Amino acid sequence: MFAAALVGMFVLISMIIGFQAFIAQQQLTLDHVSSELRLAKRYHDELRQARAELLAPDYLREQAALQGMTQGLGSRFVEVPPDVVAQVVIATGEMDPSIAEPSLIANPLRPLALLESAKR
Amino acid sequence: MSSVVRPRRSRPTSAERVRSQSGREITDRARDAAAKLTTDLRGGQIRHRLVATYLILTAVLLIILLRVGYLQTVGAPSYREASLGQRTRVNTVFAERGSILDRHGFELAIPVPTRTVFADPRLVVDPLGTARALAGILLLTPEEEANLALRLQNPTSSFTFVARQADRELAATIMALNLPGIASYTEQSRSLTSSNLRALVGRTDPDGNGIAGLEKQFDEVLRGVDGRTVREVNSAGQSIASASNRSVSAVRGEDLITTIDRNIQFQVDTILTQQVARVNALSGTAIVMDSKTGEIYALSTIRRNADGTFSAESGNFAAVEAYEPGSVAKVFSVSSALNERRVEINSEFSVPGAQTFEAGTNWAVTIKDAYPHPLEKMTVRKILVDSSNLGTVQIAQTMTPKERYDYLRAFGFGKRTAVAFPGESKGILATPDRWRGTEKFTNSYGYGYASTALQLVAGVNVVANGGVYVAPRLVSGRIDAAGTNVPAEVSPTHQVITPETAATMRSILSDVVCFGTAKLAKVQGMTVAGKTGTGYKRQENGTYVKDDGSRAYFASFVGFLPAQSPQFTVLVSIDEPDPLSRDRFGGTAAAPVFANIAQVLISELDIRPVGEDRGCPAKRPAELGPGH
Repeated sequence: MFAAALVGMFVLISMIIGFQAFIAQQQLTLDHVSSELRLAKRYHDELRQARAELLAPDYLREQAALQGMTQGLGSRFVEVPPDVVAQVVIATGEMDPSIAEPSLIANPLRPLALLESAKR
Repeated sequence: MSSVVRPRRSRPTSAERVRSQSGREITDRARDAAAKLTTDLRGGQIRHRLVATYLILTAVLLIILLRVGYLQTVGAPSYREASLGQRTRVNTVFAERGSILDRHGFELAIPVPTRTVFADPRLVVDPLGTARALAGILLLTPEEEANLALRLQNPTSSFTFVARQADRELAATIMALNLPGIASYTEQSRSLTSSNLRALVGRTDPDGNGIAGLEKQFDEVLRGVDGRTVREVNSAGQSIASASNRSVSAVRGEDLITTIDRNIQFQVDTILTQQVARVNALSGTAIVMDSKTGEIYALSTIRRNADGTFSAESGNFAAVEAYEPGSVAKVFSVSSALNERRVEINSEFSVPGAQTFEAGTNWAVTIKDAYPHPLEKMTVRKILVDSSNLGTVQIAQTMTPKERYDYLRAFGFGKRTAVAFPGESKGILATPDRWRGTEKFTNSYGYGYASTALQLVAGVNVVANGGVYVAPRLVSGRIDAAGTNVPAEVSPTHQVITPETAATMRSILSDVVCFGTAKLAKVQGMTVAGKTGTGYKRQENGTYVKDDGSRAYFASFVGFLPAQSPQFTVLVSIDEPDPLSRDRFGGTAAAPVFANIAQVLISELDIRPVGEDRGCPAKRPAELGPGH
């Protein structure tokens, strides 16, 4: 009887110790994940800043100037005769809407949509 | 035979005798008490004693039970708190401030991680040496180094900043020195993608609170909610596993979506800076507004610094400062009279080259027209195209002061716009009963009341927008924590003039550009419309002439494009261009900037001429007479 009680107590204490060790291990894993998450967040912020700077108009103009590009000084509105348009359509098929309507591709990066989906 | 020799006992002293006597008494009393307990063993006596012992023990146990009960119930929270306080460490997790975005989602202002380096002076071993080492890295002046050394020598302080929100590489360099008492932590800072956005976006203090511009106006939206981490530690300060989790995550601030187009803003900034520098002006302002929605695509304020450079670091003067609008105000006077049918587009007025008003009173003043001419027959169209002051006065006099005041209010003057920018001015517009002397005449052509640039562009936009006032708008929405785009309320609108009056005015204002005072605003291949303004700035002495006899000018142009189906309304104002230069007028200082901005809008936003529009006709119509 006494021996059985002793064994039971040993098993119980072992289980408690094992459970405590398991909790500590999980805590360590959690700490590790939290730390990695923090680092990833910092890296994300750094990349976001770099991206914003690379897309900044100041930077783009500077880089364009380095490549010998200058801003256009004016624009000229040219009327394309309908028969020419018709010939082009016949020759090439239906015009890609993104080319026919340039405003649709004004922002191919769609940063607002990307931001919304990232937050979701 | 042996004999035992007993040691002879010495006779006890009197003190020993007393001690021996009192000891005996105690022993005797104890013996008597024990005898009583052990000798008198009658049943009744024992029962009494047992009951007494039982009661005493019960009372003690009851007291202990009550105390335990109290500690477990009423007194528990304070002890639990004290216990937790001893073993828990709480750190604040600062919420990340939301970004300020342009209309497409490109960042204007973003949070960036930085490191703040600090010192615990109590742990600094060599304050002077530490200050010297830090000064070398931080490039401190001798005064700053001395100040740092002083702070590091303060034994009563446990914290002093060394470098707040420093560059991460710089902080890493400092920490690599392993200086005793020097440590660092991560902190957020704010970064603009272009320094010229400062006037519009505003700024935050080092603690992340918005203190100017949009940062201040939308601080509640942007700031988020701070969180906290709670960890339990052992006596050595090491984290221990805990089943309870009382940590609260920080809630990031929401992102603010402005109506600004970053590319257009940048190009407008560039164009305006070049012109302000070219005409050697004090400052310049440009606003690009969607004629239909009131959305501001660009709002640029460039100011000359003391060292001669130009920047947009200072406040948003487009909303904060108010000036007399000058001849641009003729748009409102003529629109009102046309709308009330007091005049027609071809109604004729006999306009003198100069006229004295309030003759014989203290207010008597002679007003000269914008250009010298004899008494001349002018139509309403010609009056506006050639910007005749006296012609406009005659048109305005067809209406009562009350009617003119009501129209000016309807055009948005004398009250703040819906933008509600921090520090925004409502301008100055007195009620008609307070119009004194020449103000009754001069306010018809822009002297006697004051407006901000935002008010002025919104006022002229009434003509562009079919007679409907649409309030300017700078914020189109926000992206909340769930990633949902929450649109802001649309701008309030109200009808000011009829669509027919607006169409007539657009026709006249396109003539202003084609044949009048704003020829330099022309755009190749497309008709645009607008009105110039050249005002004298009121001086501190209360007049329009400085003490040295010179004048300061305020040149402006407000126009829209395309003229007959406007998509964008643009204001350009140049404050104090060189008074000796020909480029001190609205038509020469501001109108060319409009033309350049219009070109940018055409290219960036794919604006095309409407219908058969191919730009201004070559010849000035005969009805306008010779040009000036």
